[in-house]
Amino acid sequence: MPKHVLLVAEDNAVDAMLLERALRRAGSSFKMVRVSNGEELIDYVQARGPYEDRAQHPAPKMILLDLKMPKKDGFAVLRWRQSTPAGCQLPVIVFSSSSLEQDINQAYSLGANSYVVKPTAPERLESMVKAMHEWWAGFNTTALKSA
Amino acid sequence: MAAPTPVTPTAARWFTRPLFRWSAAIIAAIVFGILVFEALGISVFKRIGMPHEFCYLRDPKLIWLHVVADLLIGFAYVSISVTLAYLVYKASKGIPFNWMFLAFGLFIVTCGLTHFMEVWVIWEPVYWLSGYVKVVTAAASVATAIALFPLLPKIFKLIDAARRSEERRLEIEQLNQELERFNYSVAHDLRAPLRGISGFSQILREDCEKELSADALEYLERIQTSVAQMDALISELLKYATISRQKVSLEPVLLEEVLRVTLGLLNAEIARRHAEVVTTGTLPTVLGDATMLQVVFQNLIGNSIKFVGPGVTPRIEISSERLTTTKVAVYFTDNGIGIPAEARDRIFGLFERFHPEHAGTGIGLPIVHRAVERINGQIELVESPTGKGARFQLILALASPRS
Repeated sequence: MPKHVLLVAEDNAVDAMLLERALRRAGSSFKMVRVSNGEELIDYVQARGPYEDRAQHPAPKMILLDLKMPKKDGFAVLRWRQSTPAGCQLPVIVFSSSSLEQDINQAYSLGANSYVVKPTAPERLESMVKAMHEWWAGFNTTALKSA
Repeated sequence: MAAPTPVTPTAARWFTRPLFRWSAAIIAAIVFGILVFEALGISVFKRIGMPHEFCYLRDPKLIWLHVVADLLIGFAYVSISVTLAYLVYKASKGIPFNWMFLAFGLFIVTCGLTHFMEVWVIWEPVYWLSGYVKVVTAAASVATAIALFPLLPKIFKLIDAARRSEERRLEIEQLNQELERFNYSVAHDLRAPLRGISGFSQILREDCEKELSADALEYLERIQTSVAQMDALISELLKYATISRQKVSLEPVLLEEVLRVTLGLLNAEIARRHAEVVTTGTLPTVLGDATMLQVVFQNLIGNSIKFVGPGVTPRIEISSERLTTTKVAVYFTDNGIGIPAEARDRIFGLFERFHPEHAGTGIGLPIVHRAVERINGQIELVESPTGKGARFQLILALASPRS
């Protein structure tokens, strides 16, 4: 069975590296695909531009979304997602440094399914990745492909 | 309560209104003028023939044109001066040079009177009276005109002050925006390098454990400790900024409830240290903001649990004492290591630390201080009854002041 794609929008290469390592160590069944800004993420989800080939770039099962990114930021992605029926069915976990009330509230207002403040301690990151995998790939049922 | 005053207050106030006083002054001036001239044998009401027979050519159209125009001007003048007088009456403290406004009002009202006289003299030849009214008008006009000159620099100063206060308002607004951006940046960017340092030193430890000496492993451990410290600093700094900017609404808050929630949040820490938190008597209901009070309680009790000597079981006592009919003092007394007396003035300053051997960011007490300030309370370190430990006195407003 092919691994589900976890689409990660992250502009910080270090964060992306640490996350990938944590996923690998947790034995996650997710295949992490990284894009580095909101624009690329939207292109990927819509299979546009460089991501046209679905065989090479399979549709994502879930999105892990950083908020502060160049070009389109996380909020812009969330707004775009709300405007498309397929986007709305795709679970989005906001994964940001910010613990500011306004960021958290705005993310949920724009339809985020979960909000996780990036842990600083490596052990925390690993246990977060494990729990995330257990929940989203284990207990949680995502929307079934309608089209 | 005393019995209701016999005089209706509205009548008394009406009598003292500037509008009434100035109107009375004008009427008195005119009547006085008439009496003086009559007494001197110069008849004010003397008829000198057909009024305005020649100038208006007995043409009804021309007469009515003048009558209507004069009446309109007269009423407008009176209305303007009434409005001015009302303005001065309503905002007498807010308007500078209010006497100038009143002089101006008098000038306008007398101008109105001259126009009413114009109408009157079409039918009645009261030219003398009309003349006296003009004299009063002239006096008021000249007085206003003269009084206006020395006022000019003051008015310019006033305009300048208004402009400067607007500039300052804009500056503050800009500063607030910058602070907001700064906060945003702290929240989003400052932690990223920490994750790198912490993450890669962890990887180093995991992947190269065999090649590293015991010393090197300890250094890596120290890196982690420093990162955790920096992380805590950033968190606390953000909390401090949030406390400063968050909206507060002053409403009745049950301190018992605040304490209950706080103990719930500190549950793990209390259990770990076997801390004992006791209250003597019932805590009052105060006028404050639940979130701010929560922050105060959590930091003060948290500190009391954290800053204890080795082997000591933390004990915190919370009590309250009514100070006046409106104020209450809440005391937080602990058996911890206390704060040196000479540091008393500095404890609420940012990044002040008195116990380097204990983990602390030096932002906890500033947060408490700011939160207390936000709800118009006071807090200070007071002498502990036992001479040991720390004792904070928090003064708040009672929600329902009763004797």
